Amino acid sequence: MLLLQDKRIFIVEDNPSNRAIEQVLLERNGAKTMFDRWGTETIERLQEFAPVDLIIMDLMLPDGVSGFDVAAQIRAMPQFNSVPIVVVSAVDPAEALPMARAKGLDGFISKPIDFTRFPNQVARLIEGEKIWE
Amino acid sequence: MQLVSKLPPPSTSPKAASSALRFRPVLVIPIVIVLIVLMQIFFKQQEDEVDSLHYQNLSRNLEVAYNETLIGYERAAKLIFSEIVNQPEVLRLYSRAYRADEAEQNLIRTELYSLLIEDYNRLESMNLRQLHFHLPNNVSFLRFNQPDKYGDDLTNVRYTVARTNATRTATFGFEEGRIYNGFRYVFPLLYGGRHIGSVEVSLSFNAIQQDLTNLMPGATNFMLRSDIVQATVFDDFQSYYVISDLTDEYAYDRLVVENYRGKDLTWEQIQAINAALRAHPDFESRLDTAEAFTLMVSVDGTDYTASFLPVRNIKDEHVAYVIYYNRDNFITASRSSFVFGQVAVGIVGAGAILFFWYIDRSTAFIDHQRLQLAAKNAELETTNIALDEARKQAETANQLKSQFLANMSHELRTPLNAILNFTKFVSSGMLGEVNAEQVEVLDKVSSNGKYLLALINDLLDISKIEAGQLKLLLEDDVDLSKEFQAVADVAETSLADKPVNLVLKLQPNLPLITCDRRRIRQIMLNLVSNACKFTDEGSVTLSLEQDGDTIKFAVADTGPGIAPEDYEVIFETFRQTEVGLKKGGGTGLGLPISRRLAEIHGAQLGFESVVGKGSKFYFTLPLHNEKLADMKRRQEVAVLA
Repeated sequence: MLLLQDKRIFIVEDNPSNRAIEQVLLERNGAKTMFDRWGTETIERLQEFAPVDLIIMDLMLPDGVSGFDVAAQIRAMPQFNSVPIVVVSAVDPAEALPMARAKGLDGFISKPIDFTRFPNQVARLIEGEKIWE
Repeated sequence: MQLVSKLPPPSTSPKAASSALRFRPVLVIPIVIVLIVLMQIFFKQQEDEVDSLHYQNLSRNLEVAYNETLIGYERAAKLIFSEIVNQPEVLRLYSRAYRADEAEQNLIRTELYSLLIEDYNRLESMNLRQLHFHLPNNVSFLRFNQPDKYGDDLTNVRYTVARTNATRTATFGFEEGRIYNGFRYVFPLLYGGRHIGSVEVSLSFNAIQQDLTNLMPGATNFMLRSDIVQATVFDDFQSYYVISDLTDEYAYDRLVVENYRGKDLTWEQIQAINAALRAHPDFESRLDTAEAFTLMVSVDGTDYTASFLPVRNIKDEHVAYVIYYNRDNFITASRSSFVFGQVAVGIVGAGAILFFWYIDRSTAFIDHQRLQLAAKNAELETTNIALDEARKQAETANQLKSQFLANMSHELRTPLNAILNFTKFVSSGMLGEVNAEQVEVLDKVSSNGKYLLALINDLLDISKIEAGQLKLLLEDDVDLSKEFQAVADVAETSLADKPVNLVLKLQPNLPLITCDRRRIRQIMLNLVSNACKFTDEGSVTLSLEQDGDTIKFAVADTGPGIAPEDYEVIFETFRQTEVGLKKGGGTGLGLPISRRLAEIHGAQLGFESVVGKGSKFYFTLPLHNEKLADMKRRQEVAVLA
């Protein structure tokens, strides 16, 4: 029984390297993941992928789109309003972390992510814990 | 300021246009001038009217005085007639005259003369000029002033006599005569009902003049038309008259002139006045009207009035003028009062003009000031706009700078995320077998990557601090003992290879505080890593305890210590001590950043050091920091907004 056995995690991330790292770390621990660099089909793909246990959200997305806006859009959908959303971003946490908290998201993990701790943090988030790192 | 000079001068503001349309007080000045002119005309009219009234009064006064005098003399003449002439003795004697022959007439004449000469002489001294008996046929019988002249027919030269004899009633009035001209009172003489002739009692003008002189101040004179003198006066009596110095058309009675006894004016003064009258533009025309008039002349600075009263003879012909002279300052006085009024009006008017002019000028001045002020305001506004622009540019620049820092932070950390994690992927054996040598190399990549990350973080921190952009991520109820444990773990790892004892002194149940947990840990880590780095033997002691109103974190080591000359150097950015440089590594940013982070938290970062014995770095965080609590509240508000 792996740490994230059969957990369905949807990742919004535009950087291919970061996407690969997260994918490897999560899938090694048994999770099923779906990725999307932000675009017009993102919500559609999320709906196709549902049910979802966790959404990992990057903040600085293509075309100047903020991950906060995408998170808000997803949260507005009844289907996803109880799915935990965690921000995983390289932006300065001094500004972004309190915003994430204020917008009712479930956690903030700074990049670079920690190779060892990241799967644990994700597991805790799925369990309903808030992670502010 | 360059922006200001580029802008057009604010001279064409709408305020300037509207003030040009405003009421100008200077426009009142023409009205004031018109008012003054009207006032002056009114004064002039009043003045002329007062003058004219004064002249009328003077003329009337003269007329009244003259008439009164005549009436008095008329009474006197009547008395003379009734008391002296109209006596039975006289009448009886004279009743024979008309019928008598020439010899008898001479006897009667002589007797009559001797009968009345005493009375005549007495009366002459009382201004009676003539007592003259005529026969019923108007022939002169006896002139008491010229007893030798008789027998001439007076029918054509003495209207008074002819009329009295014809009507047998008394006739009074002025009449020119063959010798003297005067006021004649001719009475009919009746004896037993029979008309026996007439008698004339006449007065010289001298008498009237004297009475007028007594009645009124000044002087009087009398002048008779020259043509009448020439026509009626006996040739050998022409010298009784002298041509008037006023005009050739009138003559004075020589006696009046020679016997002039004016009480107020000398004859010379009268001559001077007459000369002035002659020069008066109205004089001749007024004289020709044969009506009463008064003129004013000025002689040697004294004003005189001369009133002319026409005298009409018994036939109602104008024959003479009575002239009345007097010093008269009435006109001057009234003039001066009018002048005073005019001057007063002038002064008030000028004052009003000045006032309105001043008001206008003041208004203009104020308008000017207002315009200048408006211009200044406009200038200030443009300056403000420029300053605002500059401020906005500065803000934009600052925003761009923080945006740049934020982006740099993001862009540098993103590849490091890949480097560090992919390295781990390989070294962890996830991607296949790796030997010990390979793991060693991959660990070096990792540690260098972590160092690079630390360096990037430090550089970003110091940039933010110096730009004033560093923001604390404040949290309430932070348990610093957790951070202490995390730091202790790092220290333990760092010191694992060295003969250094790690001593931990953690006070249990420390109060929770408001702070940026990561930044406090950053300070702690910095101090601890310095201690671990520089301590090769001995001990490193970490302590966290309450110290009064503060929580004090301290790291004591048994390292080389810090030389006093380096006390400042260690807190300067990018600088390291000789010892530090020899040790290698480090950016020279750790302590400066730590000190600033501590200061932002209201904490003091300090140290004690003895060279060769070791150092102790510490900072104390206040338990209650209002500034931080307030900042926390505002951050929450800002985030929610």
